[in-house]
Amino acid sequence: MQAPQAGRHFSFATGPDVELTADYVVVGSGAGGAAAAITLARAGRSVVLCEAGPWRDPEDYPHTMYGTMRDMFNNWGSLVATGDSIIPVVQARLVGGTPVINSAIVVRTPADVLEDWRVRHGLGGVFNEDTIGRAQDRIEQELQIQPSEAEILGPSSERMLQALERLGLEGHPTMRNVANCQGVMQCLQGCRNRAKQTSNVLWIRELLQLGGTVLSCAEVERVAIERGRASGIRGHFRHPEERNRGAGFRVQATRGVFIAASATGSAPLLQRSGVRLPYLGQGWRAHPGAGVLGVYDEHINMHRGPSQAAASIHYRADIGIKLESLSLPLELIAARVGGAGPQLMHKLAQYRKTAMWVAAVRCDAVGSIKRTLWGSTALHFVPSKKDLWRLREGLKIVSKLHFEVGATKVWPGVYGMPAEITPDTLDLFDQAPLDNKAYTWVLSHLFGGCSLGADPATSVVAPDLHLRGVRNLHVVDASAIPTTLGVNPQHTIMAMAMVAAERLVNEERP
Amino acid sequence: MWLRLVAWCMSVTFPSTDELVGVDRMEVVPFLRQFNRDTPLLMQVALSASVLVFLLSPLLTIGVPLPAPWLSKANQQKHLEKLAGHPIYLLRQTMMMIKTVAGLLWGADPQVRKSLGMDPYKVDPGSWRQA
Ligand SMILES: Cc1cc2nc3c(=O)[nH]c(=O)nc-3n(C[C@H](O)[C@H](O)[C@H](O)COP(=O)(O)OP(=O)(O)OC[C@H]3O[C@@H](n4cnc5c(N)ncnc54)[C@H](O)[C@@H]3O)c2cc1C
Repeated sequence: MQAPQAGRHFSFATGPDVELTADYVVVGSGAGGAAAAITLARAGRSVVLCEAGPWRDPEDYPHTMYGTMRDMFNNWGSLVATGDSIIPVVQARLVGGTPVINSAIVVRTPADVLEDWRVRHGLGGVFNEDTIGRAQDRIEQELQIQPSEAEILGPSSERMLQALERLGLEGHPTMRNVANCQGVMQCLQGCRNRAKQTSNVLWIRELLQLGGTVLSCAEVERVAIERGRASGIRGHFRHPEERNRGAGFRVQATRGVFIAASATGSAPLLQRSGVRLPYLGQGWRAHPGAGVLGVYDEHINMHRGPSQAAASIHYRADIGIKLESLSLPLELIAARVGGAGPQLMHKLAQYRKTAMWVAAVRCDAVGSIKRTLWGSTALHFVPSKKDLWRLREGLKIVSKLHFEVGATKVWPGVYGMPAEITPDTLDLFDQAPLDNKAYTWVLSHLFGGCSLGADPATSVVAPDLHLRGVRNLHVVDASAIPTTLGVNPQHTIMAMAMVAAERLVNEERP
Repeated sequence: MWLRLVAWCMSVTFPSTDELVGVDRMEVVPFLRQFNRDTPLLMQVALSASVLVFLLSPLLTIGVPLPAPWLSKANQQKHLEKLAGHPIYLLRQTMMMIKTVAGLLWGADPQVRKSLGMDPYKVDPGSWRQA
């Protein structure tokens, strides 16, 4: 066994196994993992951070969507939720995790969510307005959170804000973790301009400076659990292009193991590690979204501006939807536009005259996730009829917004509806089928699988932040969140991870 | 041979028109070779299955018992449109798959981007930190 390694980065290698010892090992470097790792390191603990994907700096980021799916998405976005339809699940696999490819929207944890966690899940002692609020203050300062500036909003988001104002609805430029954004719509590709303040360019570099160790291209395969206590992890390096297996690695963690492999990675990893808790993999939730393309007489140029610079929480409480502008790159728009052949090409020729706005639904539906016998991940999630109604309402409202600011028609992209809806036919949305198969949903805000809570029947992680029945094993990512939020989740995930790491360090036994 | 059939499907789905250059004027086979090198097997299987359905389903869409490449141009067009909006969910999902993959090639093409007044893409570096 080697002595603790300080300030080192190990990437894919085929030589002898890498063996390390540290106070803590963190699995996954996304929103939760990076926040936990930097908190532990700042508290003076030795930390090894293991990330399945490669470490790409902004100059390594791709330009195209092909490159983005290849270099940044987890398995090309090929994971799907099944049930009665097929819903793609988008997540990243690289140092920094999904925030590297996300829209950088930052929203504080709503007070009603914290209250619900206190009342129904017994979490008020750990996660409350005070602890989460303080962590979020710090995050906002460190990640330079600021509202999207008027000069770079981009024409699509500008219009959406105008439409919201005209209809008297709440609307705001999104708060984002960016500095000097030039509005070049590269959020999904990671932002080669270095505007996005993600952990791969901030916290993980700082972690190295503080003497931490980063293993990239390092997929953790098992958590070692001995006599009811987590003692470390093991796995193999995997080449990011060839996907072949390289050397093995093992990390012994004397104080604890933090799991932050995401809402699709953490529960399957724990299942593989032999954890048998009845609620593990259950309680899986999401905010799926779908969009409507508004078609205008003049150029909108949705390829200018950030991917998502306008939003509305007007209907968060009553309907359970959040409205956002979402500019899609040309490569992705084709799949979203109906038809094929010359008809499709005619629509694509109007790309610059279109704007895409979406409704993200705070679903009631509860799904499940598990590792299959073949080692793959099976995700079951079926939005309920009520969720479908919410989406349908959202799409209708979004269409109304488009018409308010001059769209001549919208392309709803709903099977069973006409391909084009005009202001006169807007009410046809009320007859759109309440059938999952009729909508083109995408899943990007995911929760659960390793839920926190006081009730052992509906939770995996206890309010003392230890996995039930296993000391020193903690889950600090979206999978630990016991409910949906109704707002974008990364701020909540980062804050929860910081609060949990801080608390566990403070409770350490000598 | 198979890659040519896949390329053909993509080309009829994204044909050149007066307004835009289509996939039929692009280097589809080299793109597909690269796609097969880069993607997980699941994606390749999904694309191949979708293409197979596209090729063999004219009977289900327009009632003509011929593979899609043997249809007249007009019938090919009808077949495409019917498949894209087919009442059977899994059938219409096949067009979604073909459009998603072909869209990656089409939307990144410099001629297409130029005709839509957009800057061409630079080459993806494909690099990462190795140490
Ligand atoms: C396109 C898109 C846009 C989004 N936009 C926003 C937004 O604007 N604002 C917002 O708040 N949220 C947004 N989200 C959601 C947000 O990014 C996620 O909710 C958040 O990143 C989840 O954090 P996490 O730590 O749970 O997982 P992730 O950030 O996904 O990190 C998990 C990490 O663990 C790694 N990993 C998995 N398994 C293993 C293993 N076995 N060994 C080692 N490493 C492993 C993964 O490679 C990954 O890097 C968006 C998501 C997507 C997909």
